[in-house]
Amino acid sequence: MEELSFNVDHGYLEGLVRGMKAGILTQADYQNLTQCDSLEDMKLHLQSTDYAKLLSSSEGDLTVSLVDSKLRDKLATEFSCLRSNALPPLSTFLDYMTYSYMIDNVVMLITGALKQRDVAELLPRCHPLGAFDQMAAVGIARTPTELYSAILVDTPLGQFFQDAVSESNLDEMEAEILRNKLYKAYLESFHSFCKGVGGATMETMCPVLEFEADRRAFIITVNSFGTDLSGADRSALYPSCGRLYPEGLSLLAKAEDHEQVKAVADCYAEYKILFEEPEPGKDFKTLEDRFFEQEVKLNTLAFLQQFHFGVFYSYIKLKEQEIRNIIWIAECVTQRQKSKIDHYIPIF
Amino acid sequence: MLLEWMMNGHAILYTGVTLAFWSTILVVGLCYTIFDLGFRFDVGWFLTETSPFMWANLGIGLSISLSVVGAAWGIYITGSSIIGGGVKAPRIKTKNLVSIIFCEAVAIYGIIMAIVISNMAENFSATTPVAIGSKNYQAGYSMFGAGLTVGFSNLFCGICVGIVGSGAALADAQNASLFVKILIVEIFGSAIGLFGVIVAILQTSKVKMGD
Repeated sequence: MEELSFNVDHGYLEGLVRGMKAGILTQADYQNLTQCDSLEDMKLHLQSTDYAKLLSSSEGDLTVSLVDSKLRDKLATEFSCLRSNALPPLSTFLDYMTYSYMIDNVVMLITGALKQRDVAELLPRCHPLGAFDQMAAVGIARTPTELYSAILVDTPLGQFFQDAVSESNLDEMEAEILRNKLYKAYLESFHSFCKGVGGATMETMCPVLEFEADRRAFIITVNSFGTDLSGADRSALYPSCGRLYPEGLSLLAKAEDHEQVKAVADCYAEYKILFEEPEPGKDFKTLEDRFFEQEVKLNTLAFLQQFHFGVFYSYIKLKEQEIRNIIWIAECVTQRQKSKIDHYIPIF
Repeated sequence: MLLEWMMNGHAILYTGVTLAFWSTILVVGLCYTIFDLGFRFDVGWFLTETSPFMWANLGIGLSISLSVVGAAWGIYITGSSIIGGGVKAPRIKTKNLVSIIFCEAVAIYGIIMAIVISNMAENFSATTPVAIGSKNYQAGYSMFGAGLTVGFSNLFCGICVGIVGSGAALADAQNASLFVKILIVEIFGSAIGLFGVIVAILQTSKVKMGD
């Protein structure tokens, strides 16, 4: 019965997001972009899309990092337009979406503070979607424990610190371990929130979040080969809201090489396809690329249903993928290596 | 999990109220049965002592109010989607007003039926159930039934047209050729409101109030 009352609070924003989704670059746009010879050409082609005059007001030289930051700022503006008009529970949902960027920002600021870097030079490198009020105050803390007890406990991330870490071992924890533990707590919290909302939101968001959890488990396992991260430590980092929980995760914790990971993936139909060797003659895609493709596929499904929150999450994720695609093409163009230029991931 | 749900404040309130309500009914019913006072629960007395005018006017009130609720529900569902979709695709604004007009038609059915039914109410001078006669009672009940028929069918028709209209607006914003196809679904949706009007007219066709 979602459709009876959804539009009272969220109808306008859903219409707005669907309108913005229509501006996502299509195959024809990507064809035009791949045939460009320089960043100026790309700027010209992007002017005829939804990006309009975004890049033309840039002072100084057009570089790939400038393009990247401008695209990200545009996404952040669109998101804040949505967030400022949102009512609960959509506002809570949109806040949940920002927490993943906040985690990245906080971990970057903690590592910077530990190395005695100036906070002012780190702040512009933070992701705009993950900005929070107390970001500038992070520089005054000297240790992670101080940082947590003084600043982070008041931010929305405080709840994830409680689940993941105790104050005593915050100092010895490496930044990556901290990031993964926070992300695990965040993902599980988001998953149970979507389950609580129920209806079509649960149907579209829970598969996406479960895939995200399983993808994190696979990536953590694969990246830990050759490091001194033991199986038991690894299993504390695996999010438990995915399809792999609990048997797959326990098998992954014991895996020692790529073959064993592949054996675990073979038990699950969708992941078996992702780990398969490609047919001879086709391009080789890295595991990361295949995960991105699967993520895009799951996110496009959100637009098939109406009256749910999944469209907001999927729109932001697809826009991020589009930014990654544009930057990939821009890098290939500027470095004049057009052989791999078609390795972007088409969305619609 | 049931225990967690029970700890919620709202749940305690709702269960308490429901429990109180049903236990009152149970206790009262038991007492009436035990003390042999069952004859006091007299449906026939209720139906003959209440005036046919009460039923008639309830029918008129329900027909217009439920139709307006349905129309309003449909209009806000469609309207918010049109406004949202119209930001990035301004061309949909004028065409999609057709959906709003379909919802509005539902309210017009309600007011027409209310006027038709209210014109059938005539005065009668009798006071006892026997003297009032069956024709007047039948008139009262028919008008109430017709009001219910048209009211509820318009309520659900309005909601249906509203939800379909919202889908039509958002689909139109993506691809202009989809609008006419979804409009056909809307037309079928608005036909069900018309069915309610037809049945209500038939219900009140034999109504004759008076001495």
